[in-house]
Amino acid sequence: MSLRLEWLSFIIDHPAADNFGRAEAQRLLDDVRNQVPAEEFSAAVERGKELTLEDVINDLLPEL
Amino acid sequence: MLERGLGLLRPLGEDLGVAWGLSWLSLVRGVGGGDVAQGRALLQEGFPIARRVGSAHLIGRFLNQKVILEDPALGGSVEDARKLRERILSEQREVGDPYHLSFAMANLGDFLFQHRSFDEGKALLKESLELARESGSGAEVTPLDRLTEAALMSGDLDEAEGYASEMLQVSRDYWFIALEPRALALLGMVATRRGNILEAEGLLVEALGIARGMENQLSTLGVLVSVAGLRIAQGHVAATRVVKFHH
Repeated sequence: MSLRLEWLSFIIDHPAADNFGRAEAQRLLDDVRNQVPAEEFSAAVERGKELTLEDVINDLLPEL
Repeated sequence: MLERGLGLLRPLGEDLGVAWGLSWLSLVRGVGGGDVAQGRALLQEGFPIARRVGSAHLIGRFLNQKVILEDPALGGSVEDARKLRERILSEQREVGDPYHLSFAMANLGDFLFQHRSFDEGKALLKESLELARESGSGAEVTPLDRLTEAALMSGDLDEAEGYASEMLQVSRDYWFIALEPRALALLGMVATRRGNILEAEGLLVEALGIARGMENQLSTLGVLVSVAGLRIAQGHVAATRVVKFHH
């Protein structure tokens, strides 16, 4: 399963995320910024802000 | 249930039980989006009882709860938040309960670390860890967690692995099930940075499995960033809509 960029902006935006998690998510987001077209990147970041934790958990289910 | 227990204990003059009940109730009521003012009121009622009973462990517990419940009233002032933690640590040193003293050290150390006083924060976290190890109370997990983060931030993977492995062991020894996914996620992060992808995959699948079995879904949030790091290391990146949205 691929990383969803949405996950990273979801973490950065989540009130319960700790400083370390937020900083790590930002670092990873910066790392992959150039791996996808700018428009897709921005759209994914915006979508991530609308996710709920339940959405993300459902997304992660195939990982188990 | 807690209130009912308190109602039974109060007429009996069971001060120790009443103080414990008020301590728990202040957290239940005041934390996690609850009524902070009510939590503080319960704490203020229970703290003098703990003093009267003279239980160092309980006094220490109330002091650390003060940080949790008084913080929101500081309006986000970093200076005031730091002073609060310093005052509580000073009082904890006088009380001398190792578990809660270690916790107060970790709390101030973490605060300093988060606010870029790295050296000062790390020194306090190490002091907290030593004390917790001596007391064998399981309080090691908090400084171990923060020290792992510090090591990861400075790129010292051996040190990070050492702290995270110890955190995992302590979590298992003391049945801190909620902290196991966190420790596994930190170990997964170390493995990813070393390029040990299979090892990272195994650790993170285990972490997600434990987190998923818990009621507190926030544990999953702590694992998520490690999974994201692993997927990037594998070159698996996508920016596609794959989940349902709630509008």
